[in-house]
Amino acid sequence: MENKTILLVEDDPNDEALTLRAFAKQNIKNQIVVVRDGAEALDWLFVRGAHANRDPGLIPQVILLDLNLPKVNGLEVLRAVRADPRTKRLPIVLLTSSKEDRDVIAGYDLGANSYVRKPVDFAEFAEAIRQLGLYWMVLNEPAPTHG
Amino acid sequence: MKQREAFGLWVALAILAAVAVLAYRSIDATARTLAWVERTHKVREKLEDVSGAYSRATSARRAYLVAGDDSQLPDVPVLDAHLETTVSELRELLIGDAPQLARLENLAELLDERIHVLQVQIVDRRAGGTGAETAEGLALVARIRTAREAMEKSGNEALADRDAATRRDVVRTKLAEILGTCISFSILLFAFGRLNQETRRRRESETALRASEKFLDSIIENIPDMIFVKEAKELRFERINRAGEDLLGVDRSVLIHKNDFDFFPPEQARAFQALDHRTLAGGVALDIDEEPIRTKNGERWLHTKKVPIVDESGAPKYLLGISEDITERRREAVVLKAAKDAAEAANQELEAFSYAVAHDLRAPLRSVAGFSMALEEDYADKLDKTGLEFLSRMRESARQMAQRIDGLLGLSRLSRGDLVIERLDISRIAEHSAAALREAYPERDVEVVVQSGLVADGDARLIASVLDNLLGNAWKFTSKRAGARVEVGASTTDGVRAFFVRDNGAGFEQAYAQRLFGAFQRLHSAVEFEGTGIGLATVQRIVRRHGGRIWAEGEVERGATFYFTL
Repeated sequence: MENKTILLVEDDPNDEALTLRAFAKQNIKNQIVVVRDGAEALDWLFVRGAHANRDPGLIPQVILLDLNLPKVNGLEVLRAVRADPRTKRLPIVLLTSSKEDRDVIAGYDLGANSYVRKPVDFAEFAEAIRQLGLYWMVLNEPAPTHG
Repeated sequence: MKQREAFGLWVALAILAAVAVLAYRSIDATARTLAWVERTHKVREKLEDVSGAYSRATSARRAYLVAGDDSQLPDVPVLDAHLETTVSELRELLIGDAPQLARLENLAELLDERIHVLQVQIVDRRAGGTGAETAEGLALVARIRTAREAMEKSGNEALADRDAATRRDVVRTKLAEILGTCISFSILLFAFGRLNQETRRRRESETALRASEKFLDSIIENIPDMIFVKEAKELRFERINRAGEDLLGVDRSVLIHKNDFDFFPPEQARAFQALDHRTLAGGVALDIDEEPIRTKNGERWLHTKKVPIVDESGAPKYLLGISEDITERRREAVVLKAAKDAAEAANQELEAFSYAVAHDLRAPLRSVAGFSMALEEDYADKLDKTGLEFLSRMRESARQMAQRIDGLLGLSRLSRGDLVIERLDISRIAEHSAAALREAYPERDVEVVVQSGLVADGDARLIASVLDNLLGNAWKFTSKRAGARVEVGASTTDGVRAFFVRDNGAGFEQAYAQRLFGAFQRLHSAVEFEGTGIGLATVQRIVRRHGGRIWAEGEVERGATFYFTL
């Protein structure tokens, strides 16, 4: 379980800190890669730009994607990921503040696997993270990497 | 009627022709009679001449025979010749009158015989005879007289006959004339009567026609839309009404018999005529929703219908146009659209604002709540009881603010989206809300009375939200009362039918009733009754979106009643 990577796309350092804390609290010890905007997320995923030298064999078990991101927003990241054969089957969970119907609908239309709204209360937030980790890291069987 | 008149006319003409023929023939007969009478008179005169010539021829001879006077004897051959000539002339006059001619021949023979007898006596006397008149001679004289008298008598009789005939002819002619005149006069009188009648009839029908034309004219002239008629060949104006003159700013005396090119810019005239031709060729009416037209009063917009008018053979004869001036309506529509666009823009702005609120206000709250909890968890040993309580208050405030943000977002969401109006069973929705509340608060014992058969038209989701809120409030504000009772029903006050939700809970002061519906307006402290203060604002928004009204009646500690119409 520990060798599975989580990609967290989050621009707000506070949210990042809280999310990492929640993972730590829930004893989720997977590697968590944090990128801070949509463009960086795509660079990392497609092993290019600043992340051209990363290990291309590192494939995230799940992507936690915020919607409201600088440069390239979450929905565009989602679209690009789904359009590329290398990444189109990656599980993507939209983890965001918005509960707007149109965001939820657009997210699912673009192929998000799940949509989770970040609760304000940290106890609730930590619980949400625990369940996410349990489901996506343990229960969910991802698509084979080559095939 | 016409056939009878024509027949009458022909009869009249026939009668007139007959009268004319009759008169002509009568006059002709009279003329012939007159000619005959004249000849008869000539015959008589000639007969006298014959008698005279005979007398002279005999007298000359008898003068010698009786008195021995032979002075006249040398004249005898001349006198005889004269007698001969006279008889010849009479004979000529009598050609064609066989009986008289026969009598004349008889007389002439007798005359010859007498002359001959006298000649014999002269010879006798010269020879010394007596030359006396013989009995035979005397008898001859008598016979001559008789013969002559017979001729005279015959002539006189014929004259008398002719005279009578002439008189008859005259009478007949007069009769024919009188009759003809009478008939002609009658026919004329009749014809005049008929003519008079016909003229009057025509005048009456013309008056009626003019009245009908005037009526139609007044209709066409008073129609407030432009009506025009163009002939089909060169599309020249044949007719235009007053509204048309006013619209174009052109008097009809100027317009008639001219075409579009005389009044409008060429490209516009071409466009008009193209549509005219299309209408005439297609044979069906054309509806032009909007067309601009440059008039003397500036540019106007018309809604025009063009209709082809065909003759008996189906060939297009006229083009009828009806144009409504929609300039003002169009202008209003433009203004309305601008207002609508502005409203939509404002709505979009609001939406963007709501979106920003949803996203950007929640994140810091999450930090406040999250880090205060982290502090509590990681540094609990470094804080005393009061410090820990402060942290707890911070977290609670953050949670409340998050709730209020969600409430505000819900409220703004109500302003957007379309209502899906359908017939709703209000009673069932209320029962549903009550059931959900009973499930959420199993410890509560609330008596719920819902009037059955309540129906209204509305958006199912939103009306359910109204009842959830109102019943939720009722639940909340009866929480401190034993024997809590919530009633849902409908009543009619001042002719307005309204639904109501009534409770016997904490109530409120009527003076503050209006403040109930403002966002975050609360009449009770959060300690007494918790809440975001957004519920009734939401209810009011929903009711207003349905075109309804909401109001409340209450009394402190005696319960509250919320009324709403849809």
